[in-house]
Amino acid sequence: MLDAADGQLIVAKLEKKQRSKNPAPPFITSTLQQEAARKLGFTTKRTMMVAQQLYEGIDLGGETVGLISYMRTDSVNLAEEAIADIRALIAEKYGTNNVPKEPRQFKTKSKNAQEAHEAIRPTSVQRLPEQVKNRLTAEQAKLYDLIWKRTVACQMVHATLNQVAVDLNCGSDKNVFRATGSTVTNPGFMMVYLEGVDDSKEAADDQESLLPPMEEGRPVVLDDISADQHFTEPPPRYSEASLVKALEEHGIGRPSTYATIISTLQNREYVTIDNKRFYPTDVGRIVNKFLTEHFTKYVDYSFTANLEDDLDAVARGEKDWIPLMNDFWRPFTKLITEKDESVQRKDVTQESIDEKCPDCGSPLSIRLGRNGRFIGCTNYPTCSYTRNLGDDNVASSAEPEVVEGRVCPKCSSPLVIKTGKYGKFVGCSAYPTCKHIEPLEKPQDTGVECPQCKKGAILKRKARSGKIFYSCSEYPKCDYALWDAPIKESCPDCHWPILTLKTTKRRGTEKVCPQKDCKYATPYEGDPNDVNGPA
Amino acid sequence: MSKSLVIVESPAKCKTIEKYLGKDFQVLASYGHVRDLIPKEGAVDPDNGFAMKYQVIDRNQRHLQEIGKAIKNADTLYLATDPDREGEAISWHVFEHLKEKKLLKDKEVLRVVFHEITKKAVTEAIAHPTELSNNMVNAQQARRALDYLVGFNLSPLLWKKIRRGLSAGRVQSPALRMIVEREMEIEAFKTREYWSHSAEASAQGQPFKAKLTHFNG
Repeated sequence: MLDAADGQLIVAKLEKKQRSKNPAPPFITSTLQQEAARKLGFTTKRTMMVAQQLYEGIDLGGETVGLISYMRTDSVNLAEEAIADIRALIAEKYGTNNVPKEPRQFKTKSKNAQEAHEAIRPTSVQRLPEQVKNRLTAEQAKLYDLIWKRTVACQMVHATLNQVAVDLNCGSDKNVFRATGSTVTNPGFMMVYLEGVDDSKEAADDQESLLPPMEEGRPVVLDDISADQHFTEPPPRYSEASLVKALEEHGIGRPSTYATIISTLQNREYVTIDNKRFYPTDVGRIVNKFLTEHFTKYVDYSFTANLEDDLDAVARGEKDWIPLMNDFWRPFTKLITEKDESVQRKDVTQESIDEKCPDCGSPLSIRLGRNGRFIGCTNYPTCSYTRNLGDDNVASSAEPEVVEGRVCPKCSSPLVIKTGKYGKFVGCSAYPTCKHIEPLEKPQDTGVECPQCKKGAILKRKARSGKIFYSCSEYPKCDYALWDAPIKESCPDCHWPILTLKTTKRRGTEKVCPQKDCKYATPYEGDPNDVNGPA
Repeated sequence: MSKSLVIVESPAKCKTIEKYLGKDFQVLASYGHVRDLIPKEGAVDPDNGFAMKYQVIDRNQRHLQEIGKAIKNADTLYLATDPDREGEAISWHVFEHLKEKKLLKDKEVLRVVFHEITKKAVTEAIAHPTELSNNMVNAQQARRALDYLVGFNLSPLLWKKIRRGLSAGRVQSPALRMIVEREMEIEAFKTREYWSHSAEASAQGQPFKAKLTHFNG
């Protein structure tokens, strides 16, 4: 194809479109929980706790006042007075051209009469996040800032984007490449707040990219054709944010129950959370298998959602509650009695597998034990053969992997890679005689001297959470630490010996002074990859 | 001047609201739910119109006692628990409890809802009180009863058929199903390899990338 193209592509079609993007509606319980998880890393429980504090009242020095409206709601409605306040603030702070002609009205999805009648908003948008910050805890300040921005943005003008799509013929009109570009011509609400997304694929859509000017029928230079290998990926496990979203989409749960559902599942040990994603436990799987097989209707999503709707109808006075209870109870209690007699314990806790016991030749099965599932012989207790689920038939007492080319700095024994509670690490093979351990990924020296103690060097490290940070090699004697990669350049404003590199979507890569009180920041001319520190 | 007693859910708000309303109002907290179904069989009786047996929650006994004491000096009771169905139910339980104790004789009982804790919102709500919503209370009772009936009947079956101490819940179990189904989807997923081709081109000296959309098409 590269040969046929002869170094050029022909612009076959050029399409320019103007697209407008509207702001997201103001917060309701579920969207607040999702955004606080995405943007602040809060759990649903934490979000509700902090929101409650903001609702119940904050001492602003002399006056105690609730900073936000009630936080358990599924209405996106805003009081007329609140809208007027928000519009006035936008005009004052962002200019009248950012105030739409008509106030934006959002439609509430649920027809629920049970909950509060307004969205979650600041009780006065005139209380700017930066003004109340000193009176709030760090978490309260972050959540208030999020609520304030979302509320203000929802009443601002739409954003206008220019989109360009170019079809380029390569050699003939049978081989077509497509390039797309998008630029923001008027940011509107986007200058205040943009809703987060759960999966990075969706995010690609909103990224800005500029195409050079081109004309239909004209050639452009073809430098190279590259091929990239990809792998299809399974759907991601639920996070708290995506589970709340899914529950809401199915109509299961209500503003007052999302946080409780999540904590109940964890307390019952039916699910665990790792890296902010839900994994079912073995017990969780078996309980679910039992319920879906024998109580199918009662774990059915639409059945559960319909029952919630019926209860809402009772609250609105459109349905009587006693017949509703009867309709539920009669078949349910009958099914309980039936299943109590018909279901055998072993049918639930054992799952047969196509394998014979190596000791006695009886069939093997997967069973549920105190510590989860394992493979055991069906001839138990006569035969006591067991092995771990996931182990191969062959006894493979895996030899620990030896770290090549290095020995323990304390006792000179070989070092091995071990797996502990928090993942893999390097440990001494003479354990427990020698207790030397070190992280698997050795911290890398950034070559920058610590500006605090002036003795150590700043090292790039990985936190337990996987997040990268930079800290002094003299720790714990010196506790200097940074989130961003340091460079050996002193601040021209405050003369602090180092600067850091920081990339933001809005401002690109910048050299920023790490000192809190210094506002120095200037665009970075070097390689943008430098923000990642030493590789 | 007549005295009024205002009941809210959480103690954090008491002082603030008391300040807003002035000295004729005393504000006390219920500290959340005050009564729940008895944790035994028979708390809900399906053969008797789903009659429910409630008891005072231990840790809130003293808060209810305080409310009981304070009501004696008041002429009006404002039930100002949170503006949602849980709040409506808590108000109703406080009301029922005080009625059983015969403490509401000659007292006016009103429901008020604050959507925000500001002086304006609170004084306006007190100026425009409503009554307890029977419909909302019924819905909340029905919900509590359904949860109880599912838990109390299905959980023992899990103990018998799987392991002691397990539980099932009307809303919790469908949520668990979502998480397990997703895990099974991931386990059944077969990763496939695919390739994408892109052209690195430039126009007027400015480089850009384009993705192959048609090949020999």
